[in-house]
Amino acid sequence: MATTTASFSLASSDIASSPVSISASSTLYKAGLATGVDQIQGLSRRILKSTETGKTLLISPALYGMQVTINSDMSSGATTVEMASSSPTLANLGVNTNMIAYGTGITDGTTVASITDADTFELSANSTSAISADDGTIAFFERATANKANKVYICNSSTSDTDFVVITINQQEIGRLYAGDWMFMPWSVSDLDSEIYVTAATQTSTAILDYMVVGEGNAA
Amino acid sequence: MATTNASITIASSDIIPGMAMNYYKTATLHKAGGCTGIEKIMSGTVEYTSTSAQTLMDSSDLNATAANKANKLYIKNLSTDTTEYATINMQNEEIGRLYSQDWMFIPYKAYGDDHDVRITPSVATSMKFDYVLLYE
Repeated sequence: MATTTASFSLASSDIASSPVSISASSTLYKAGLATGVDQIQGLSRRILKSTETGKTLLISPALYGMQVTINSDMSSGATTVEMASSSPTLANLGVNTNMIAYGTGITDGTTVASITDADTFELSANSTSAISADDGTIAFFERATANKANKVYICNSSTSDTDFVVITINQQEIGRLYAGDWMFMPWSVSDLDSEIYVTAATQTSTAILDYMVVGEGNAA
Repeated sequence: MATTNASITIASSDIIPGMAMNYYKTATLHKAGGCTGIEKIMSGTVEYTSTSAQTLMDSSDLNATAANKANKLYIKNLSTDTTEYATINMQNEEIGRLYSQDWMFIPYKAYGDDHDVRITPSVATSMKFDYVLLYE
């Protein structure tokens, strides 16, 4: 098993009447186990141009990118989805069983239960509405497994003291990271809405975000 | 002004075999938008004996002085049982689970009455948590 440690120190000689010194070090284990986490989305850098002032997705529950297909159709209350063409095949598009299938009429959390042939697959749950002939768009992705012991590190590596980014999970603002600030938090990805966003609404220059996810990824 | 430094090291020699990882970052904690150090601190240890959500930080209590500032919050789960965890919520949004000895350090909005930080222990036997709030 891998051994990954996260160490913290907080020190101040003058924030209180006595010096403050706090330290912690933890080995990052899988949920409920003494086995080290073994997946990582290593240190990455995202630069937001000064014009990118809106809420921006930084870290998604969708792992390893996303495949979007068009021209599908299905009946309401059914699980069978058929693509308009078998070229390219679902296999060549990288669509695999157990991937999340996300689109109109498909209940959140529904997966690809099986692939029947080159252009037909079955959902794990009945659709809630029909898609007209060759009119559907479906996104396929592998999601981070819910309720695992993932950790997220984010650092605002901007240099302007007045610039900050707002960190948001789904719709809930967590707080502001000013230039040079960093954060480290657990991330359970409890549902597909657990995206982590950054918003650099008032920045005066480009915002630089360094980030990393260490954890269990798509663990069973 | 006070000078407070927060540092993190994330290290692993084998999460990717042959590519040792050792990231280090330190930050001097400033007030919002300037170079003046944060100068208020509140800390303690809490013990919970229930599996219902407990409010660690009540944002309505902090709103007047700390809302939308460069506050920082540290929490550590002191449990030594690897199966025990605490679910951390900001109001109703689940952030994640702190397992035994896990810690977190986040910016904290502390705004209005809808940014409470809540801890839900996984067991009703005693679970203890250290916390530190650095605020303006």
